[in-house]
Amino acid sequence: MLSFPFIQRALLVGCIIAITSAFLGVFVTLRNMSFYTDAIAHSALAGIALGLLLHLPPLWATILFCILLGLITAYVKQRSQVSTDTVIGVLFAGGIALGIVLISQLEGYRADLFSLLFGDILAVSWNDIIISAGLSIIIVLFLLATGKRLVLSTFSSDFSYVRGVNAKAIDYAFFVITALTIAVGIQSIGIVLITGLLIIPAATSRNLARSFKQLAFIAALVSVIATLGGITLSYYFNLPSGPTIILVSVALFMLSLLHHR
Amino acid sequence: MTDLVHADHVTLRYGASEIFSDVSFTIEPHSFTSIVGPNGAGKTQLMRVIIGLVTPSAGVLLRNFTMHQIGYVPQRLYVHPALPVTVREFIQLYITPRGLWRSVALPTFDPKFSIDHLMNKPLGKLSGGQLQRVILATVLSTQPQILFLDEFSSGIDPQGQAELFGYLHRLHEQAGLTIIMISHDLDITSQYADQVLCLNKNLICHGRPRYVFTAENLEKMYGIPLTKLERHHHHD
Repeated sequence: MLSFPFIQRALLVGCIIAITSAFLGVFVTLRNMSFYTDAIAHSALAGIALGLLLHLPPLWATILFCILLGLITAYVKQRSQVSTDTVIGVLFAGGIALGIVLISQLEGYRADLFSLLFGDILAVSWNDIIISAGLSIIIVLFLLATGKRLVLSTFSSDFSYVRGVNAKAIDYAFFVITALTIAVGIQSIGIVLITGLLIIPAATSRNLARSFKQLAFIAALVSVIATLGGITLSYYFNLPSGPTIILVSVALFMLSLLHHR
Repeated sequence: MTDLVHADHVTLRYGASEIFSDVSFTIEPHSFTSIVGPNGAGKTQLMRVIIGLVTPSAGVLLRNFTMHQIGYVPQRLYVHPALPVTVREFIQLYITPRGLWRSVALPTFDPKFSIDHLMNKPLGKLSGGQLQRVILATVLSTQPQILFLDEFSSGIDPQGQAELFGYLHRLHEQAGLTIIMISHDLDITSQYADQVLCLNKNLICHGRPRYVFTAENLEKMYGIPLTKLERHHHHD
């Protein structure tokens, strides 16, 4: 199996995205932002369609569109009295509707909707890997530099403000970096399943970890095991790779429920 | 002596709703001030204005301190029961909120806090009283000159409360710690505070507890006659 270059590329990009999304997922679950990640991922459909309409590279169009949505969500969240859930619900529905409308306007384009929705990790090129690795380094460096502030501000924005942490600025940065991670992950794991890779390893780790350091480490480990296991199973049993990765994550999550802290 | 806080006709509004209005007072360095009043009187928001977390809608508030000099124990922190952040990690986060995750040597805590055995416990697994003790010890570990407490002792049993307020009182008396607290407990206020601000949308009264805790003032503040509270007046 390992002699095939497409498998080597899949395993490499899989591990990169697994580690990045697991680290980010730890903070996403800590900040109760699971629904936001789902909304951004689904709205990314509009970004992809927009890229195709304007003849922009789909990955960069998706990244720009997701970041824009992240900024809008953070802005509305801070400026409006409407609950964050509601804002995200509007974003979710609006994004996916816009995506479908835009796709319907693409003349002669037969969207490979299946690969958009569920990703195609076996089709990634070396160029994709370099871009994913570069962006992942930015994301992980951001999380290392701001991780403590991200955690402190979850307790209370006033409490952290007194310690010199600007919760609003951190909020904006986190919304943007989450959108970026989703955009990077979509090409491998797809719109529908990227949320799974963000949430499930972190949730599994929560069942096992007894400290924050353990939480981050176990989440990354679970994510890598699920990705390597998923790709291997998909190769030997001829299964779609993205969904298989998520199914392995779910199985690991179930196992973690058996563990009593 | 220069005032630590000087509030001159301060008003706070959120949209159309007025949180409090026309509040004027001063707080001196090394004093012990207690803000009292019924629920919804605007106490927490007044404290947030004093700290500088909110800008008043009208009036002037001068403060003679920086953020680095204060410690703030808010009414509540959002701690999820399944949050796997240990007490040790929480204290480290608070002491050094910037930079990379690495172990920082923890200060020694006074036995009064009785938190040493909790260091490796996740925050979400602490009882309300234990969490309050951890937060107070953490906030005091950076040696603030001014301590803000928003209904701090609510989850702590009476004996624990007496111990911790005794400890805070010693810090106030011996180390000159300025304390500004919000309390529903008029007994503790009478016992420790040297200035009380009675708030109910407006400043009903302010001064030493023994002079301001009159039946008339308490009735004005709480809207009902509080015979029990007259005791404080006579005790002082």
